[in-house]
Amino acid sequence: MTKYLFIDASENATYIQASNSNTYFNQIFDTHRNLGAKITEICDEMLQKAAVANNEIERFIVCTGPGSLTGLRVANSFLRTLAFLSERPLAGIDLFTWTAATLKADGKRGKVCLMAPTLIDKAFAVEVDLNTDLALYQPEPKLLENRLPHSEMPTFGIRWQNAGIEKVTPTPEALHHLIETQKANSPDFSELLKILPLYIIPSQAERKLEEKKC
Amino acid sequence: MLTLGIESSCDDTSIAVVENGTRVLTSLVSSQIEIHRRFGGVVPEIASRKHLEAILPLLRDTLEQAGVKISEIGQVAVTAGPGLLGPLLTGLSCAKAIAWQQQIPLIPVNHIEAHLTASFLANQRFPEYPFLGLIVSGGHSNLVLASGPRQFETLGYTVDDAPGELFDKVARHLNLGYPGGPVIQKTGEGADPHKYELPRPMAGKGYLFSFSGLKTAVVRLVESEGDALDLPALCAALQLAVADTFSRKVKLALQETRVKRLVLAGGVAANKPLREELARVAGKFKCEFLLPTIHLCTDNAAMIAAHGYLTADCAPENSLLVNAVANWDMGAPCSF
Repeated sequence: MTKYLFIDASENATYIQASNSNTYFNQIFDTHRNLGAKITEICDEMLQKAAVANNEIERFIVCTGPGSLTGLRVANSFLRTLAFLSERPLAGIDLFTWTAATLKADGKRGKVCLMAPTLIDKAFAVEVDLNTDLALYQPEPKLLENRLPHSEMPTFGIRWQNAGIEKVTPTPEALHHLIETQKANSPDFSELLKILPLYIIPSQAERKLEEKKC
Repeated sequence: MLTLGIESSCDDTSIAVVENGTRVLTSLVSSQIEIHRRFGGVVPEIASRKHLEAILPLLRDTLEQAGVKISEIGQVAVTAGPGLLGPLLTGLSCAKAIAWQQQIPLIPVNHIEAHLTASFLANQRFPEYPFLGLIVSGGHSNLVLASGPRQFETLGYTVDDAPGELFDKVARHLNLGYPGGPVIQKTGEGADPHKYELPRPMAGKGYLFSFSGLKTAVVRLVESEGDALDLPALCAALQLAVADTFSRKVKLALQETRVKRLVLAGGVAANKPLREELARVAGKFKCEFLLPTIHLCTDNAAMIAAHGYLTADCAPENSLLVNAVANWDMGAPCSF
């Protein structure tokens, strides 16, 4: 088993999963608006649980969102620097793929729609075929103007529910399976730089500039 | 001792390696000016995104150009504040990863304090105390009496806009471009600074500064002059008003404190009329006058590394728990 360190900072609480040669450990830490301060402390705690030193980690994996951009950037900047210094690969796993892997592990098959809330009353949505190899899946989220189901497919909300939308919480088991089956990226510098948070919508300033042009 | 410095408090990402606090081996800057130009100012969210993209290539290039391995770095100094939180956190997280992985000390640095150190670094020397420091930039305007690496008595500060902000706003109003300081200086070159009379804000009111009224005065002048406006003369007059405002406060401070060393720092320290005016004041008071090179005027990691070296003893015991802070008074302890 690969010794890995995974951080999901897409929400106020930070989820960390770490593995040693035999098993994996996971924990949710209360890092509300404080991940910048706590990141080394919570990584130390997890690696201690896994009895792995930071220089023994073979793979780094970061959640790319969608979610809190500040949190995603803190985790991304931290892990990509570690990957660069230790010449180990960094991979990104988005919440859509992780959630799809969770549904698949739960025995669901066929096409589903996954939704994640964003901004006020808006949501991101993707359609994913659970019959395909999720390790190769590249989500292309759309921004919906409301948080209602928009297709005939079974619709699931990521850590969230609404009328006609069933809540799914991505599981540690599905994440572990995804990490173990995903082909490790090369530790090349150019590969490292490709791992960025999902920037699905432009910043407010960019949107205003576009509106002005129109 | 090699100190790696990391700076990301606003729109410049910078990484530097400084030896023993005074010798800059490399200092690289990735500027976002072109990106923010179309918005007429720095957009924090976009700045954060660009810092994340820039920081790792910059780290690699800095180490390569300095000819050092990461294992040779003895400590990491990073800007922890004041500044824009998103950009600060990107640099801080990178610095923490280095310190955590290499098991070397992390030194949180106050960005404004580091600007003063830059003026000494430009002369490859350590700061000597006491000195009167004037920090002028896009976000700050502070007149301080320094008595140690982290000992400052704030004499004056701006109650509204900083001088760089004034230049940016006026340049935007006049459609001159961004950033305002350099374009206003270029436009005003060779023009008569006395053609227009602009106010000297807060004159005779102690050490406090205010620049928003000066901006209003410029707007009114532009309206009243209409097509007859002499743009170069206006730019020259504006710079004279700013330089004269600072000059009056600095003279007062030199008289009252009787210190014999004057330090000018910050991005607006690149402004030629201001540099010349304060050089005259220092000469009149027989003071040593220190100012940074143009590279060290703007935000840079060399000054962060140098100031980190100086203030390593003041760093909190468990500095890996430090967070980025938008507001951090000079000399105040680093908050967690």
